[in-house]
Amino acid sequence: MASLTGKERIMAAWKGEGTDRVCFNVDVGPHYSPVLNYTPNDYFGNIETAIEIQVKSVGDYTSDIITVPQNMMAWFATSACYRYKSRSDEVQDGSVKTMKDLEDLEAVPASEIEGLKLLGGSCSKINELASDYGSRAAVFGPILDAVRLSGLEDWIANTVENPEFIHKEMRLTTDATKDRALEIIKNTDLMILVVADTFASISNISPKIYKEFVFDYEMELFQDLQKEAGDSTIIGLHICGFIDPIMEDIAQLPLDWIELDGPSSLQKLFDATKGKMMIRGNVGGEIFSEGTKDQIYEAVKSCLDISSVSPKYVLSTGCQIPLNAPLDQVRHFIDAAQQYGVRS
Amino acid sequence: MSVILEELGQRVKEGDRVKAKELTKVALDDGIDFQEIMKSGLIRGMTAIGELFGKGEVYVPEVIMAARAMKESMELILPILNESKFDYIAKCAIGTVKDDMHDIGKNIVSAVFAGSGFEVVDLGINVAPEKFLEAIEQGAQVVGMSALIGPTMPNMKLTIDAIEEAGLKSKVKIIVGGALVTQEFADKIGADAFGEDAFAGVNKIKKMFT
Repeated sequence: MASLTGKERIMAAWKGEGTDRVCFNVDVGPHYSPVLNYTPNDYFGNIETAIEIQVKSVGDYTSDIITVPQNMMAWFATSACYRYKSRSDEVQDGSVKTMKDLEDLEAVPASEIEGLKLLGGSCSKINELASDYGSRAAVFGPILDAVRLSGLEDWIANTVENPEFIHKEMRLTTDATKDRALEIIKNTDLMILVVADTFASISNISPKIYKEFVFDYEMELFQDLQKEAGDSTIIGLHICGFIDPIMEDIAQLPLDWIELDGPSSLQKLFDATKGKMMIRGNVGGEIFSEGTKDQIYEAVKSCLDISSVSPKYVLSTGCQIPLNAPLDQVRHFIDAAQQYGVRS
Repeated sequence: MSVILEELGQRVKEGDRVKAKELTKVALDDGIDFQEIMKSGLIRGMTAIGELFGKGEVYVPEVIMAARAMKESMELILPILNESKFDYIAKCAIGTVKDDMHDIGKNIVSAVFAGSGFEVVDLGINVAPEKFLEAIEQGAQVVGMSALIGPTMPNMKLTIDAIEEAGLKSKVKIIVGGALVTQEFADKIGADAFGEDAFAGVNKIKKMFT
């Protein structure tokens, strides 16, 4: 089978076609910084530097996907995405506690978010410099934003004591996520857009709370994103942590792509989704800082065995690799992936 | 056991903080000893929810609601406890490690330890090793560290190494916990105990001091 570029491999796998080898993705941008005489702080603090590091890192540490660096403060800060209607002070994390706070809140329109404009530029640059790779970026999802606004403990308490507040907040954050995601789909050439809805995992909430307060909003969100995305953008969901008890629900969402974290069962997700979605994951990040070469090889082999049922798979870590993980460990991961991931 | 304390335990288990606080007040007004209220009311309720959590029948939210109910009831008891020069089992400094912003696990652990007879100093989230050291120098005999995500777990070892370098490791019992933390990891980094959850953790630490 002819060798494919990373981008071609991802597209083929997404369509359910056979590929020369299993797709894989490992994001080592911050870890690669010292190789180019930068520090991780340089990576996180300067988009141009981060782009340079990312492009060089995927050449050296093979990956089919390249993450588009984003300006954390201009894009991810709560105050960048939400503002008060009646006052000028910034919205702080955990500060939205009452219905009155919520009613005074509005989402900053996507067209006004500085980080989004920067993301568009970064996407273009990445696609120009690293056109062989599938570009990927994330936008914060509805429950993640809601929890950032209210604080997780209070958010959970309100699902019992003030459900009307939660539904109103989720309405706000779903519309905001939709606005930002649609802006990215329409105005960038990003290949994979992932909605990161971290707090939807059962490491934080319960299946009951997910079904009652999150699922319908995610369903609506992804239906609307898919109408716009068509075949041009892969739409995905990333939930950190344990999601086994809600996999059957997630399998109903109109997703192209789901990113699975270490604590969850890859086998169960394949069983639940039945080949409908690309699955990315799920070697635990902590194995890179705490594990041995043999353990990394075993983890890779285990994922490849389970995923052999479907071409719609990207071998990857579940979540971020710890910053103190030596690059040698990443090399073992890639070597194992290349050794065991070849397809005839 | 009194009917009030039985109902108090039930309300804590159900996470009904309003009713739990009311019942705590009734129990105190009725002259029931505060230690009995803690043991047969509050901790009984937390233990019950802890058992259900251990079996996978309830999840983090139910435990949080129960912990909140217990914490609010403890607000009525703490002034009495402090005035009585209560003989705490030990002083615990509990925090989420450096770079980790999650507080759920830490809050549950703090509530369970406080209700179980420990003096708790909550160091908060994103706690640098120096702050844990400071807490030990101020009398903490137990250090509890929480980390929810993989990237921050190495900071547990960073903290333990700092405690060792300061010559304080023998003066303190260190317990670690979190979604990805395992017994193997705890052993590897030199912790004295691993808490699979708040309830297992408090029992392990109690055994070390009694």
